[in-house]
Amino acid sequence: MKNTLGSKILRAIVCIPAIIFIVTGLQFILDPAAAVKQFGMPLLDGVGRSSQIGDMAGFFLTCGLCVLIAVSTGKRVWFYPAAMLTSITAMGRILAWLLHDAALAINLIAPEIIFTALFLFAASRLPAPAAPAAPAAPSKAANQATSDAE
Amino acid sequence: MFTNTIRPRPKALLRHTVAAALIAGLSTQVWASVAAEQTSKRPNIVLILADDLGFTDSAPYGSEISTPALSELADNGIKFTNYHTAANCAPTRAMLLTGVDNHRAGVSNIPEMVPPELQSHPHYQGTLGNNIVTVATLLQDAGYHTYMVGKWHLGATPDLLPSSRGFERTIAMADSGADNWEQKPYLAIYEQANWFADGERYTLPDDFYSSRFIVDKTIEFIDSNAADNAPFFAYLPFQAVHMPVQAPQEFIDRYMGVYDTGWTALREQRLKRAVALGIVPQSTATKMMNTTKDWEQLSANQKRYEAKRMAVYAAMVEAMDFHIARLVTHLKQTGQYDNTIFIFASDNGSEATGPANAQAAALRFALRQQGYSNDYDTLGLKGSFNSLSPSFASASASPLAYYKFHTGEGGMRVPLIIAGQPIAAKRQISHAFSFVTDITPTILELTGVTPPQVKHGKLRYGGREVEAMIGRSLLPLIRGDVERHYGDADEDAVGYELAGHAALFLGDYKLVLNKPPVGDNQWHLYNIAADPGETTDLSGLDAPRLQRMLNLYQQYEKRNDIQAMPAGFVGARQVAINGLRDRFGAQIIIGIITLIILTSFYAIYRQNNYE
Repeated sequence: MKNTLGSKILRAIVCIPAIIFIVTGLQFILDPAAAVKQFGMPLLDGVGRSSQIGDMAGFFLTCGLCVLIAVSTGKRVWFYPAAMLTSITAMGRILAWLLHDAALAINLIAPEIIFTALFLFAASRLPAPAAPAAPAAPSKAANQATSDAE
Repeated sequence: MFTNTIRPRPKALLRHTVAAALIAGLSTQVWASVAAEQTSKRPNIVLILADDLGFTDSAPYGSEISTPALSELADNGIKFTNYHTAANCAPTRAMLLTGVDNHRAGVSNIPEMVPPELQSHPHYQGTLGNNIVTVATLLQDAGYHTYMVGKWHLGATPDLLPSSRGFERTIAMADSGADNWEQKPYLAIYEQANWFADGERYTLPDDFYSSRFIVDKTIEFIDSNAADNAPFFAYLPFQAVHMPVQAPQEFIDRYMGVYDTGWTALREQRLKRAVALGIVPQSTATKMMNTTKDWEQLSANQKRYEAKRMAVYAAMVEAMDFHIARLVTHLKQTGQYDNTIFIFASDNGSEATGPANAQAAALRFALRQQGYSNDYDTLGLKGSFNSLSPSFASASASPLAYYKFHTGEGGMRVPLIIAGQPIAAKRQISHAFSFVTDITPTILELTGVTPPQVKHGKLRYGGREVEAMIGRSLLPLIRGDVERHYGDADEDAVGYELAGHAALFLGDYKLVLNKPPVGDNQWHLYNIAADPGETTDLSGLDAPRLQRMLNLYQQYEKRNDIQAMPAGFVGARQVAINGLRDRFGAQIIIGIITLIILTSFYAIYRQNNYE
């Protein structure tokens, strides 16, 4: 697939959730009190706070960085960790609602499903970078010189 | 012989025992009642602090604003015409409640205005240090009930809130100001209006209006302990008339049309009234501030708008007075008035940081982002943000020069009324110089409470070393024993500094320096007893006094470890920078890091050779 206008637009679109994830991950590290409000939870104390900040920042930064690596290097396999994280999170939310009396957080599940679909779509459609040019065939004289040396 | 020994009969023994018990019981009761009477004779103290109220903003000081409650207090007490505070909020509150110099108390300035270079210095914390003891602590330890409702602004962490500084019951607003109609911040530097009740976060009621609420809750606190006969100390730091200037419509209506002649006319009217009342000398001259606009150059619409800004301001003053009257009436009805001393003052002079043109599009846009409007029709009501322009602020400080944040008399000289039967005032007016640090020693003398004492060579209280009070009790002045309690000796000098603005009071004289842009950064010398308007600079005429006072100021600066402000320091700009950092610092860092990450990946993307 060529690096068409369509593929450029697709790259730009997948970068949007990636930026959101990175900002959210950084917010958990630098301003956790504000970050937790978006997810309907209080800022915990002690070990709870450590897990809350570490795990959430790890989740979001990994997700966002995987997408950026995929987009910038053209190695589409990097979309899959991001897609797995968002899809399993959405599934976990639904199971939490079914099994553990959690609220059905549609406003969070819907974006996660949309992002999963977007990442999988990008993984299948975005072009790989062009292969590096093949080295020029060695000349007869050069081959002869190598044989003489051997 | 045993037979000759008088042996009490069982019945007599019983009678004696009962009689002895009765006598003992009676004695105990009598002793208890005497003790209770002695306790109940200790006066209640009501300390009322207005916010940003100018020198002539109340009727007893020459205002056209109706303040009958303050007039009644002045009629039953003593007015101080030469009383000075700090030139802004928190430093005044620190000195008022401790009698200690504000620098030594850790409050050289409001915390919002301290530059980063000085934020680690103990004198520049902007919050009340642990090296001082408040008058509330001293009174509480002496058996007083201590209450506080209103603006605190001396710290918002649990250890700094009034509930940890000697107040038994509190509802405190921790910020520099807040909305008067709802729980809403008035500046973008605050995420919320931070109210606390007894040290815990507090949500204001839906029918909140600041002055009414402050008095309602104070009455509630007083009544809650009325039965035990112990005296009380109630501190009411009003939000009135700090911006946003807001008032109920019925009060605003009374002042519509009153200010149509403008600020210059008002300044002159107030000077005349102040002279007539004996507040300032007959010869008082005034100078016009360079921030005062020409009223006549305003369009009819602008005049109409400015007149309403001032009308709302006057209404807010009267509303405060109305609610003070409710407290006075309540104390009369409950029989506590005769044993109550009222102290009324302002924390600094009038506030002039309101915009000269409040209807500018940029300002209105900024207000909308804060959820405010400043439309003419609703000015002062809920959702409206009103303030005074520098021009009307100058009239509010009439006949004085300068205003809040400056060391001119308009920033530092404010009303002080002390009233109530227990003070037995011998005079109704005092022209003697007095300072905000005098209030705590006065309260302690009035209540018979001992200040911290020297132990093992150091001043200590509650097991810790504390700073010494520098104030002097006003009681000798009140009782007519002396004409002045600060003389002309070196040890009588009172220094003051705020972010480079400086002053030193000695006898009738004042050495003063105001920084640009309003001031000229030069030392001036005035006789503020004869010339409260600071119009005649004596620095060239009395060089020895000037030099002496400069030397004393340098000593004051050294004694209190006063730091120079960084180059280019401007108070209002520092508030904005600090606010931006405190409120949005994390977001700014997040934005920068995100940008770095994106740029790095974009560079990688560009290096790849896509087809």
